[in-house]
Amino acid sequence: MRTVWDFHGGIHPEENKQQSTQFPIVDAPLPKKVILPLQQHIGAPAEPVVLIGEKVRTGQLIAKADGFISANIHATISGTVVAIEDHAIPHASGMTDECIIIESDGQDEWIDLHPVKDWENADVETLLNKIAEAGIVGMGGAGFPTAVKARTRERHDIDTLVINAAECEPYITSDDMAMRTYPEQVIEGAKILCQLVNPSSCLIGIEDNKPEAIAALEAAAKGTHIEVVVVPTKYPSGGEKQLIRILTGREVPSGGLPADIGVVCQNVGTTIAIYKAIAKGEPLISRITTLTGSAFTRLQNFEVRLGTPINELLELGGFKNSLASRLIMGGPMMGFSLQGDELPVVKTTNCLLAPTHQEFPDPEMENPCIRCGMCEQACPAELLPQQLHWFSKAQEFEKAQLFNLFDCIECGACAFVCPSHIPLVQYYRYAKSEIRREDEEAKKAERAKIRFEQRQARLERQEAEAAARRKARMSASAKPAAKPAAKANEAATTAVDEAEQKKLKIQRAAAAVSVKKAEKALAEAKENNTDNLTELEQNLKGAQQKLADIDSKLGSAKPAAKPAASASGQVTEEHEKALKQAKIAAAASKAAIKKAEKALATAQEAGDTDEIKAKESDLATAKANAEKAADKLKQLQSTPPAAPQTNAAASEEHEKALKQAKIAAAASKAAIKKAEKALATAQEAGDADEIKAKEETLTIAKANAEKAADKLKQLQAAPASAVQPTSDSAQQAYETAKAEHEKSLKQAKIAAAASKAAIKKAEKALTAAQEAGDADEIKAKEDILNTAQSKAEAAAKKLEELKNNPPAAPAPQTAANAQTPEGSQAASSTEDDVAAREKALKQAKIAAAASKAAVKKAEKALQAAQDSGDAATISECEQTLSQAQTKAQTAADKLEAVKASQAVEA
Amino acid sequence: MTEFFLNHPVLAAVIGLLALAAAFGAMLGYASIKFKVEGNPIVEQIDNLLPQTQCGQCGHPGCRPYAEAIANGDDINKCPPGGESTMEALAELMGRDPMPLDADPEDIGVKKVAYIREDECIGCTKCIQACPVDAIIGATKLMHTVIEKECTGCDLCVEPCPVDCIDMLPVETTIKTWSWALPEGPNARFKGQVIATDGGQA
Ligand code: SF4
Ligand code: SF4
Ligand code: SF4
Ligand code: SF4
Repeated sequence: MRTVWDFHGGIHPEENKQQSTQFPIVDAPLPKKVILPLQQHIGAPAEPVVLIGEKVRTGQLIAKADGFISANIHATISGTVVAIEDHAIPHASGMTDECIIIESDGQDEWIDLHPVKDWENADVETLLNKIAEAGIVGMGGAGFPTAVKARTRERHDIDTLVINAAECEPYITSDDMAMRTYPEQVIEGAKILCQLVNPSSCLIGIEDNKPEAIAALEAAAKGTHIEVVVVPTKYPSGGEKQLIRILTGREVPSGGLPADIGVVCQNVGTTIAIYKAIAKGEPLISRITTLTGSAFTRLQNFEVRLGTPINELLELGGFKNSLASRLIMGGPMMGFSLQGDELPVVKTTNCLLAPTHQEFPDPEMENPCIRCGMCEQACPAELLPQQLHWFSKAQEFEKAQLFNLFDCIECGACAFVCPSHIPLVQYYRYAKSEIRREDEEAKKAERAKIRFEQRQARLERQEAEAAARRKARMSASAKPAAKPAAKANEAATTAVDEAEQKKLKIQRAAAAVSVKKAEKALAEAKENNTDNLTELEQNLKGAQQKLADIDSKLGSAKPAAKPAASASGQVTEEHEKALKQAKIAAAASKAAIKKAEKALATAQEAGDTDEIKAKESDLATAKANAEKAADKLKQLQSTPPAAPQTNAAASEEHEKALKQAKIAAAASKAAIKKAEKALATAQEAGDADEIKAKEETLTIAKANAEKAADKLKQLQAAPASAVQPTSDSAQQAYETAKAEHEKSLKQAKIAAAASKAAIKKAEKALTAAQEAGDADEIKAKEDILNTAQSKAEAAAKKLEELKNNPPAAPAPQTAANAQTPEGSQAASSTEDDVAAREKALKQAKIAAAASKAAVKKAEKALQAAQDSGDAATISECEQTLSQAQTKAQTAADKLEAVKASQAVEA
Repeated sequence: MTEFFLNHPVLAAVIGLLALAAAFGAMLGYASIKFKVEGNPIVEQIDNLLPQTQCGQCGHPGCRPYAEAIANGDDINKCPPGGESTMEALAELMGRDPMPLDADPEDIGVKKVAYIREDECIGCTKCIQACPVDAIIGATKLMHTVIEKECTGCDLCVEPCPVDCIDMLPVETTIKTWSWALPEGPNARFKGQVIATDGGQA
């Protein structure tokens, strides 16, 4: 006889097991439908692999284990999957969870079963896979996936396998009856488990209140190394840690696993399921469930298909609702009350207990703790339940954890003995769930913190990058201006030099870094006395050499331009300065155009119309600026009288401009093509808004193309005058002014278009407001619309004004001051005019934009009104719209007229 | 040498002490360089107590700035998402007296999560820019959505939305987040799920 240890505490509640052991296990009738929760185990819920409406057969896999700790779910009857939805499940919260619901066809057609033949010689992996496939979980209560537990051998040395047959909780007899009925299955299952974990001993721990089961098992175990160990009846000897203590005398460490001390423990029910899976190929689709409690008339154990609705079982057991005080899943100590009977039997449902009021009276009133210490004596986990209770109540969770709250197995022994009827376990459950929640929150907070910090870092980086870009731009335009005494030729080469210098500077920075690195490496090496010192020194020397090279290049690049700049001395310094600045301005504006074009391209790729519009206007402005700059430059270059070199430069400039114009024309053609394409796609997609947007883009692109073509023509016609050194500067100034005016008009047109868009937007907003039926909102929107419309009107007026005020007549000035610096003065006075006009135009543009917005708004409002069907509103809106449209029309007409007049002038 | 010390015991003691002082001074100096603690650990500790909702309700742009402010003497009662418990933890850490929370009682400790009514979203990306923890995903002109798991419920994305399609919904209890209620204490019956274990004899 084996020595049997004892564990601390424990209680002796009335067993009440005899009621349900009078009759043998019977198969419960096939349920009409089954409800199979996707999570009947600890770990991740399974992932459904069937579709609604699919026909399934008994034993077919319907949900696959998802993750390492998870378990398969199988169809437990044959029939049709009718739903995969949230359904109430047996859980203390009474809440719902995702379930697969199958309606029976009454056939119970099984899939083909594939047992592991000759499992005695099968390898461990095959057996484990089969167990995992069968979806077996711990059937004693917790529902931990068995295959995972059986794998512990991979990480621990296991010397003892314990089959938990204690079944210590009152009322429950499912394991008892299973052992009486299928002792050989238990033994076979234990053998399979032995093969899996390869222990030196295999013990079946069984309480001495089950003599029939003990006898049956002992008979079946004869001739094997499996030992049936009878232990004294005491609750909770079936607790895993307690049973291990009883059988082996070993103590599972706090927070540890049995595997840590070389033990694996499996429940009897699980053992039988393993046997069925390996030897018969049957997945876990049914279990033995005890129906007991005096509210049943038929107290018995049934083989129940998983997912069977509890109400079908209640009917089977002759449940009398009037008698029952409550319905409990599990035993009286560790079970929980059920809310409703529409719940399914799950893999861990070992008992349905329906006690009467005599058996289970309502809970007593909780009284204050009298510090009697009885709970401490009853606690099988050797905890201090009283202290835990105080800490949980005061929400001092940290202290509760210090007192090993998580070692509490929620056996209820303390609450059972408490004379003050304190629901101690509830306090612990509360504390445990609060601690888990706080942990979750702390984890989430940590994640949030990291995400916040990462975002912050990203924003800072972007800001720094933008600032660096700004700075680079600023310095690029400021540097050349800082050298006022530079010669004209230098200016001509500045752009090239600058690029070169930049490159050199970058190289220099890189070289400096590498020198520093080399120095550091050398220093480190010296410190550590490594033997590659010479190599490092060479590296350093090389790097330094490179740096020196670059420095000298940089130095020579700067002065190189100077000697070349031997311009004619007659040119005044001021003129030179002006020329230089103009060139710089031209270069800068070119850069701006390029940037704007790039931005536009990205915006078009991204497909954001607002963005595109904005970028296009940016581009237009940039181009206008560039034109201005080029004109000025041209003018300046052709002005100086006795500067033959500048003549050449001027013609060069002209050629350059011509080239650029050609390129621009080509680019604009490409843009048109692109816009057309985009329009086509938009039309295919059938998105009205998109189409409109694309059409706008297209028109703008076409306008740009026209502009480009015009410029090209102009330039081609102009060369003679440009090449001629004595060309009339006043005429050029006029041309500049005209161009300016034209540009301004164009911009005004764009602005007018934008304002139309704004009106449309406002209209849309109004529509939405009207749809929503919010009177205040509607009024507000109408106000906005009106303002926009009036603004549009104003813009239109200004436009007209502009149109009627073309640039100052060129004729009187044509013959005037030629070839002298005075000419440039005259030009600058014209420029002043231009600037003033430009300003006016800008304002007009803004106004026009606003008015367009108003029109759009009105349209939207009308649409909304039509949708809502309110006649009064409709007529009102129609009036507003027609007004807005007339205004827009006027603006457009004016623009058209301006364009025409400009064309004539050109 | 020994003789010299024996003849001048006072001098010997002084020299010995000086030598010790120099040795320990050097050790301490080395240790202070070698084991230098980076940053301000108290700010770190305060920051760890704050809920990291990053909502700015405390008047600071995020939890860490508020932690710095507390370290510099700001009040500890300005974080509504943290609620009573955070304030108490801060009081304990800082050795200050607990004080009533400076917030709407309705706002305190309510966990919320942003939800975008997706068919109304116009894809303006404004909410993405507002979210302090990058919990919103979407692209220009496309529907946006909130990563529920990462949303801290800070409320900052609601305001910028031009079409008001973001709601702050209270975080719903699911079967995974459900927790047992605290028994009411003496002189009450626990109504919950207590079974035979509560009443004594089963
Ligand atoms: S419920 Fe917990 S504290 Fe109470 S006796 Fe059981 S293990 Fe001990
Ligand atoms: S048994 Fe109940 S009354 Fe006695 S010390 Fe424990 S909690 Fe207090
Ligand atoms: S109020 Fe908001 S930002 Fe301030 S500490 Fe609390 S959670 Fe963080
Ligand atoms: S702010 Fe509103 S409309 Fe804009 S992307 Fe976010 S949810 Fe969509």
